Amino acid sequence: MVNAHARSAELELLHPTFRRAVTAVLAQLGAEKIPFRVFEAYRYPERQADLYAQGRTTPGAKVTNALPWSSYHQYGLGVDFVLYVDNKWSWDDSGARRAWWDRLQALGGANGLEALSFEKPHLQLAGTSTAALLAGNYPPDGDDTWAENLDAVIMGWRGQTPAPKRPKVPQRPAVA
Amino acid sequence: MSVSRASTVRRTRVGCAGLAALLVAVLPFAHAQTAPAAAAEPGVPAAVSDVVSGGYWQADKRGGNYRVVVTTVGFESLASRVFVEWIAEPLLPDEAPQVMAAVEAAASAGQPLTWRPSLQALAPGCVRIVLRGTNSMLPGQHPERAYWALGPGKLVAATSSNRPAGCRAQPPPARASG
Repeated sequence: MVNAHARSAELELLHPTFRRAVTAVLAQLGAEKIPFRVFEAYRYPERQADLYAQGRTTPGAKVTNALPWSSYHQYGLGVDFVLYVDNKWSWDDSGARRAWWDRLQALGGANGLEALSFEKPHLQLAGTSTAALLAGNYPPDGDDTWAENLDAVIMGWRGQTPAPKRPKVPQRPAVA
Repeated sequence: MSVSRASTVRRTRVGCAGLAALLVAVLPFAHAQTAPAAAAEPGVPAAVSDVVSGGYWQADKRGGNYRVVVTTVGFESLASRVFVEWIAEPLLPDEAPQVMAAVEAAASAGQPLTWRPSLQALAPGCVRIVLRGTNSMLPGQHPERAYWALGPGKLVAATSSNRPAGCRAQPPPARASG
């Protein structure tokens, strides 16, 4: 049972082009003994709505400006990398660790990913835009898992923010 | 009418002086996130999310208050930077307040931390600044940092044992008996 309000670090719902790039970045970081892990990968629009509400209509400080479907996470095209040190997540960028974050960004760029300004943990697929995604112009070569999940999420979305156009989903032969 | 105009002019100059300093502080954010900010002048840059001020310092025949300015930017995950400023009061009627010094306290730019500042004036020449944070990616995590702000440009991270000598809270004046 999927919990659309929970954080997930699973890579299986990412677009395959993006997943390959993320995997390559992780491998290169590992080879250099830089202890990053994927903190969050696919994010359902329900969770994005929860995050957006915080500090606006629910208690706490504001944590994001991204509405549901404005984040690449909802398309399987964005991930957050965070340091994992001594069994804890760490956003520390002081001293020598600053170079680790810089290296993450550099490896992302070398693998076809892009960073958002001033957001070191977040990397997303380069070469598209939120407007293109909302219009249903998705990166080519999406696999069945990615397309079927995105289509199901779009069809199940009940939030106020308009959902994007549906991706092309592979046709299944009718069950006899 | 002339009073009103003078008042307006003065406010504008005050705004520009403070704004100029603040824009310098905010400038690193400007190219990607706040390009429209310039068009919004003479208002405060939109990236400013919090300001607190108070206390009193004196140095080199100038004096004024401390100001803490927080700018917050970001899209996926919000992030703040915190600047402590020493604002010099004007010495002449046509002079504007000036930012005598500015130091970045919490340099969390790029990291998903936002900060809410508070300021406690302990004695002339010393305020304690406390920053309460929220991790935008792990909202249950609330880091806290504290600093001593002393003379212009002097900002010290506060620990449990490094209270500067001049930072003892002054006792209330003794009451005359009888």
